Amino acid sequence: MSDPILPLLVLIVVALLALGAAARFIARASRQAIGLAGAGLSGLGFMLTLLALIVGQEPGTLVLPFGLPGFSLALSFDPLAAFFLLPAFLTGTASIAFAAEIADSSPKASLSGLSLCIAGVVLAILAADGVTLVLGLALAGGAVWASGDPSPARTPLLGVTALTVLAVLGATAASGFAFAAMRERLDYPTALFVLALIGPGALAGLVPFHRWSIPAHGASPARAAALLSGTVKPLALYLLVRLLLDLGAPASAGWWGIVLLAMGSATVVTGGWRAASEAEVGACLAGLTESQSGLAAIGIGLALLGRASDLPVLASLAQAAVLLLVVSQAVCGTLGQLSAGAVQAEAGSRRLVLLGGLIHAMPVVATGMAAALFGLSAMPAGAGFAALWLLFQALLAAPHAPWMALVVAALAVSTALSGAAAARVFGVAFLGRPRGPRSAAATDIAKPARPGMLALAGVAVLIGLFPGGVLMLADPAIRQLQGIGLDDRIGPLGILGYEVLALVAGVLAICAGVRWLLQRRGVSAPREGPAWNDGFTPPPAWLPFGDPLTQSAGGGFLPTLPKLPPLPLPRWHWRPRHVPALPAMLAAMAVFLIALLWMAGP
Amino acid sequence: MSVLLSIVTQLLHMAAVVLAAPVLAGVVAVLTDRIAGRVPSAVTRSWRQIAHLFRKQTIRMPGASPVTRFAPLLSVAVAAWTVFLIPSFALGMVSAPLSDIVVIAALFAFGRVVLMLAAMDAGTGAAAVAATETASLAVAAKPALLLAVFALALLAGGSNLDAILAAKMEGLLPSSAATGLAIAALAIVGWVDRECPPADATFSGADLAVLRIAEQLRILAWCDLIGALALPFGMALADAGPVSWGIGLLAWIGRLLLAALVLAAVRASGASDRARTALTLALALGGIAAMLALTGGDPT
Repeated sequence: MSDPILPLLVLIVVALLALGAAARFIARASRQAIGLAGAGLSGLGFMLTLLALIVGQEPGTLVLPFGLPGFSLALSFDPLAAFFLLPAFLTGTASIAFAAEIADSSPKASLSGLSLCIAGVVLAILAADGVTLVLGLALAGGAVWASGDPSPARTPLLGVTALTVLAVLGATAASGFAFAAMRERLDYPTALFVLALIGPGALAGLVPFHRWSIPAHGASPARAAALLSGTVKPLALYLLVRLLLDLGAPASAGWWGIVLLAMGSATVVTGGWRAASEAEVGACLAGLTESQSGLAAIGIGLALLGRASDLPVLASLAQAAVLLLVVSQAVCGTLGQLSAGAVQAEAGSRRLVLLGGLIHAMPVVATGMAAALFGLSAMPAGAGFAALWLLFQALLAAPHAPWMALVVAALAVSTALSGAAAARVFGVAFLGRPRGPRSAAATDIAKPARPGMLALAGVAVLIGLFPGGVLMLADPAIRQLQGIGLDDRIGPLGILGYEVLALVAGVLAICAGVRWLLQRRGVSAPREGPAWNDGFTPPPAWLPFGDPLTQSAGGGFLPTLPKLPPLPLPRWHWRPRHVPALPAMLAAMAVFLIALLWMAGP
Repeated sequence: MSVLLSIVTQLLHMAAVVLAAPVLAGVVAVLTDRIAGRVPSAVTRSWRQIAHLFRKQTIRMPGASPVTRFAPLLSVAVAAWTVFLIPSFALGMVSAPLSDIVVIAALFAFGRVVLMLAAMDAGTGAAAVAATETASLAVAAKPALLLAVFALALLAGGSNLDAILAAKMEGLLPSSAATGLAIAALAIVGWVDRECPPADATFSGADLAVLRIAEQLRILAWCDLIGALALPFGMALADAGPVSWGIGLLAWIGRLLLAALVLAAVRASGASDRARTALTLALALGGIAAMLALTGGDPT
């Protein structure tokens, strides 16, 4: 019985669109009211989708009563779409709530942009044909672009992606734009694959199309960066899964998987390396989310390999890893970027060398950042580690080839790099002593936003503690694409072989036992005083923050590499910073419609 | 009955490793002195030092955060959990389904991250240098470790350590060359991990004592892991009864003594400043092991 859920979701999308328009044009509405409405709508969508997944909603299709001449837009609610809707709605709720609570120069424009963007993302995920998908993407991209952020420059990538996807679908499906028809027959599967890598691949930040990602995060305000990390990148992964594992799967070739493995391996290493060496908190987090995109690409590649060599267990394990990565990337990416934004706002900078000791002044933000970093890096009991463990199992089940060792090595390097990056960001910015007056005088995030940040941190921790529960929600989607699910490999309490709850309970029990023993033996209470550390002395009165050289500035976490000549990669110099948003959007839509009519013509 | 026996072996194993950790540290120190030609200290010296530290008052730097407060506890808990997961004298303990070799590798790395954070919390230059050194060594150590782990898991058909050891004992691991290289890579990584100075210079009193215990447990975990993989002979099955357990215990003590001898010899040779070279070698060994495992290894 699929009737109620799709119309309700459509209503939510329409309401978000209306809210987006209203926020811009109604002068009287207050920032909080709009934010409450937007977050409420998005949260309602999350609840509905979660409920539908738990009760095992049958897939359903809804044909809208309008569209292009001779073509009606169609939406469908299948398990894959349902699973991807969860992080989209969740991060949407968080982003809108934070934008409403944090004072800002143009709050209403940003709220409007956020609402429209979430609506677009939901529309793209629900789409059952190419045209609706492209409409959703264009809406999401245009909304970010038009939301009045000072640096919208690189978000047209969404538009570019939309047009690429359109080209894919147009070029490959002579039978029409409907997904059902494409699953039946694809005329040029190779074109689909290549264009899927260029458009959504670039959006996800895969090497060699990753250069936009970190500068774009650095130049965006926190809410836009959170959107890029936590909503846009998971959306890009959705597109990759939908295009390659669903629509392209019947026609897929074995080498597709190898290309994705190569791109993913390069991405995890470069992303991790950037994360452990960038100077700004936001850029480090962007590197970590990019690294997660790379892990997901490796997962998609393994799933394709599994399909090509008829190993359904491999395919389902790899897809499980991808879906887990999407959730952790969405939640932890959003949380991390919002925390980085709070640091920027309250401590005056995102540069590591200017921060320090923030855990005392900003305990809530420190908690949020710690949860985000824990999930994004591959530390045991974090969400990232569960996904990594699944990928490792998939690699064990993969067809044996000597070059597989390189993928394993890349995976391993990325875990070391992400661990170093997480320790570096948290250690330099939040631990130690303040490095300047601003970080010494920082205050925590505004009171109304604190429960939200703690709740999001709680969700991030819960995903790491209950990966089996998340995968139970993902199981219908895995079954939909791979034919078999994970069955008895997963339970609500863990994954077979990786019992995370036992691990956490055991470690905590030992902690408690040791503490109890220490107290019982009457160890004397600690005293504060300067510790002897190779001649370190407390800073003198005339140099309150000490000699900057007496603390780590975040360098040296990586081994020095032999200097190599730079790779001759093409650089994208197009920076449409001064393009007026509205005419450009209208022009893009016009081009899009003409292309659509031209392709649908014969 | 077999559940009961597996619980009993688990308890015995936990008691044995907790007792063995300080003894192993003492024996390594004595052997190192002997090999280097110094007058050896007593085996119990490290023990007495720890007891002495427990009696001293802990001093914490002003402005230390909860990270400093909880780092020693977390370190010792993670190290203890790791060593509880690695079979010492018997297979098939209660913890067998949990002893995944990837999780164990990650726990080793996590223990270091906790110490790195504690070092950065001190806000002093020397501690930060130790932390960054740990991080940059890990970039080479982690791939070597995971490649070796991957080779072993691939050969045994799964990443459960108990199953890998059982397969090794019954001679079911197909490629002895790949297994040998992987174990060599593990040994080098373990040695570098042991030589890498723990960033504990800012701790004192009971905190430092707890950290020392954690470090001893960690060394024991490495010795157990590598020893069991290299020479799993004599290891008992949990439901085989006390006699086999006794044989298993003797074999385990023998393995530990051998490990102590090797550790002492390497330490006395003053090779510890060549950690990076050693890691490069480990990386190569691990890579070759993984490739051998992937291509099928032995020509048979």
